[in-house]
Amino acid sequence: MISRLITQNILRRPIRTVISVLAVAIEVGMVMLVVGLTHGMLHDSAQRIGGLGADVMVQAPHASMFLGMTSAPMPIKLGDYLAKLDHVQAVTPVLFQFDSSGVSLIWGIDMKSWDRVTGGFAYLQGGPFSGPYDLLVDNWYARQNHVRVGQTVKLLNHRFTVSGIVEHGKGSRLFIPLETAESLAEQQNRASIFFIKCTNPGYTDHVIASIKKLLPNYTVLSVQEYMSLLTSNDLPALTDFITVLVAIAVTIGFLVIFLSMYTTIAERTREIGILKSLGATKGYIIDLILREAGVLCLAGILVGYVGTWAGRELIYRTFPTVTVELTVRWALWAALLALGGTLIGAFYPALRAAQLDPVDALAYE
Amino acid sequence: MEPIIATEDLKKVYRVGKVEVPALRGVTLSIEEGEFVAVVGPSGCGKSTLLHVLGGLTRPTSGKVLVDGNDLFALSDGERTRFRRHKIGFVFQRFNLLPTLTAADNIRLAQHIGNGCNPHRFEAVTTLLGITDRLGQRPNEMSGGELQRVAIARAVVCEPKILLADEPTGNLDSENSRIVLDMMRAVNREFRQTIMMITHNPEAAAVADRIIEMRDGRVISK
Repeated sequence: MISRLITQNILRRPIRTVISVLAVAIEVGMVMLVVGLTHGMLHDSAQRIGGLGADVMVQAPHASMFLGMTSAPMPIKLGDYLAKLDHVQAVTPVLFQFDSSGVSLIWGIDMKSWDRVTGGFAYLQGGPFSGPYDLLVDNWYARQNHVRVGQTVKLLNHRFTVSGIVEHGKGSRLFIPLETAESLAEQQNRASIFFIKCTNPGYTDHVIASIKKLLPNYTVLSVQEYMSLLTSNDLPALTDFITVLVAIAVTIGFLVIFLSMYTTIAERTREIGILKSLGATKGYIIDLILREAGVLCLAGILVGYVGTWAGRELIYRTFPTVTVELTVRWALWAALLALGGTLIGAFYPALRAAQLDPVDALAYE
Repeated sequence: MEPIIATEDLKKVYRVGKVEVPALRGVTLSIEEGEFVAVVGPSGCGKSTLLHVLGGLTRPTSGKVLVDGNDLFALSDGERTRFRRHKIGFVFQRFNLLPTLTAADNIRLAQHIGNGCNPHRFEAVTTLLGITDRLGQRPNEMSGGELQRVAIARAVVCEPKILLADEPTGNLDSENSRIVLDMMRAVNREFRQTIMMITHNPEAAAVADRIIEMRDGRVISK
């Protein structure tokens, strides 16, 4: 019986219902997409670092684990010292350049040492750099930006010619010669990071220990460790970011449900008076309103799931280089947060309804 | 035998801003079980306030209300709500049916809230009130007379001992008024339900076993 009353109340106010459901759906979608995008991009980034084939990475002291945030304070000469350590097969320096116009991270690489550490690129079209303003792009970037070999691309306020399209999965999506990157950064003989390949991966810890001895304050990590850090769901910097965004999403859902239920109660004052005259207790009325909000929320969660999936498909079509990682864990979290926000948002209006004076409520026009 | 409703020096004062407006100025009355009583009097004489107080919807300023032997206002809020659910049914001038529900669901809602009502009573009540063919309709699809019969069915479906009716024919034409009054009389006779009906209409009052007349918040004749 109570279900029928709730269903009829929901159907009777279609605009209110649609707005409430959409608010919850946006909340769920926002949580899932933001988390999915953040984790997806980090995990993708980790996969690409893993795909290099290097065993160790060396950064300047206190360097950020988010590679694009790292400047280039290390002298490139350090690479020579690192190469002389026991069990080191090859070292390659990389200089990061951030192109704010296209929000792209460009890696300046030294092709010879790069090939020794990574085994070289798999070229799908074209070939390596033949001039200072040549550019290599991976196939995902090429597909997203409709780039072909020989075409010019504007990056870092300069025109680069695409010399080759490479298989994705090796560090970055955009590569330029190291010397060009140094010249554009006005930082000669500097590197943001060194990737090291050991003679055998089993020597990774040994090599790390040697580097720490040689460069005590530098950030030295095994690639495996770096990947596990990036793929961790409890990354401190990420947790704060996600917490803020989730809080915003939950607040939106809470406020809309609060307003929706509050206006509903005002509109249905007389009905509440009728229920009271029939002997409905405060608990019955609170339960009725919370259940109604709960049904709206569940509908919103379902619409949110569908919307999230549709949003991901849209992102994939529009930005093929972006990865959105949707997980059951975060789907459940988003649902729980939406339900929690909804119930809290509906509780005060429900309480107010339960406390209405029945005579005043019955006289309400 | 104890009366089913008894009041003792019942007073109710409303406060409007800083002004005190006395609605009941010491009402003492008693109604026996199974009686059909009409309360008449001019507008503002306190009839509706009396009905709300007897139904436990509003608290008196002073005085005592005994319903079926229980001091209504010695009960807690929750106890009084549960007491009302099982002992008292209301019929209002404006029908007060839930617009989103069908007639059947409006009646079943009372059974649902009543929790433990005899489910077979539904058929007996709707048959007696002649609304079996209107049960699937929503309030906006029914006439005033039909609406009031559904409201009566809702009020009596859980077999409350008392039916309190506030101007039940106030929104009806004379033919529908007659039908509704006949139904109330039938409910009173068939189910031995005590009825207290507030009315302006002398013809409606004439249906009752007894007429209580009120003026200026007092009972002037019983």
